[in-house]
Amino acid sequence: MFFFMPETRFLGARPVVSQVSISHAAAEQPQDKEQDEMVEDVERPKPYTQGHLSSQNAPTHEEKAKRSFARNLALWEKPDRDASLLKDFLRPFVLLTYPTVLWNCFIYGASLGWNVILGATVAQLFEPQYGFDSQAQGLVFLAPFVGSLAGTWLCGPMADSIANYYTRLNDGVREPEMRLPTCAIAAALTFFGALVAALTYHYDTHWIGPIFGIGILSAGAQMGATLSMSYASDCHTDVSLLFPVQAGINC
Amino acid sequence: MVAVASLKSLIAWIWTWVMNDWVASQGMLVAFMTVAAINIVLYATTIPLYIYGKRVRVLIHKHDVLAKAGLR
Repeated sequence: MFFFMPETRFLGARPVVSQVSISHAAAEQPQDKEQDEMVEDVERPKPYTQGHLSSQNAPTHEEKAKRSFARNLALWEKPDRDASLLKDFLRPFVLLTYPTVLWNCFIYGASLGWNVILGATVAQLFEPQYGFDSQAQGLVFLAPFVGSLAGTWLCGPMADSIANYYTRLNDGVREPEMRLPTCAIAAALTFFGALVAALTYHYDTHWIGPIFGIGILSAGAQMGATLSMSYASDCHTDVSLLFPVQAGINC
Repeated sequence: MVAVASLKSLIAWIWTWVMNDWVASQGMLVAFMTVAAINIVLYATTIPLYIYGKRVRVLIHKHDVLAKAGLR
């Protein structure tokens, strides 16, 4: 893996993207008029390219020759002189002032916090009351696994169909906020799962009770994390290159 | 994304610190239900974001804090 991943970074003049004028929805309320004027004045942000933000002003000199695959596998490359490490370090702290990113942080943290809580308390909970040895406690985590798979399906095709429904109501203009109603399902699943797990444990039912609750809980948590991250990426496409890279590292 | 990861790690740290003692002293029902209630409160902030989301995004691009901080 270390030796066979090709370099995909491209430094150079990129083709100029024509500025698309923001189209308004056909049916407009009168009081939205000033908001639409604000939207018109703001120009669409250019995609974030590290250190080459004025690339459309750069002279289009010689076309870069396409590098061979073997050249792409080289062990080291010339560094990017325009990338400032200090700016890259400080950028996330400024991004925290955006309400959408802040909301994403809280929902993502709360959802992934359930994984942490389960990991920390399963041994403490299942050993005294049900007599699970460590092998059985490991098998308890099959429930979050199945729940996460269900949650992934729920926040994939089903969230898209909900977003499509709202897009149809909005005359075909898709906003990132169309993703948010699915969070109602995520919240309901999370709460319902926690309720089932806690009540069945408290009243000392068969061990399938808490495990079933934990599975539902994991489905809801998975949905919450995915939906919030996709919403934040959708809102800020100019800096959203940063999100998926770190998501892979931090899962 | 670093911002998201740091806040997530902060929440995870708090949970690992607090959770075992809390479950031992007050039982699973109280602990889990309190955490679920905190989750519901956080999800309830989605409703204002759904209503005012477009206005928030317009304001963000209009003021462009990232460019003012010289970090873009």
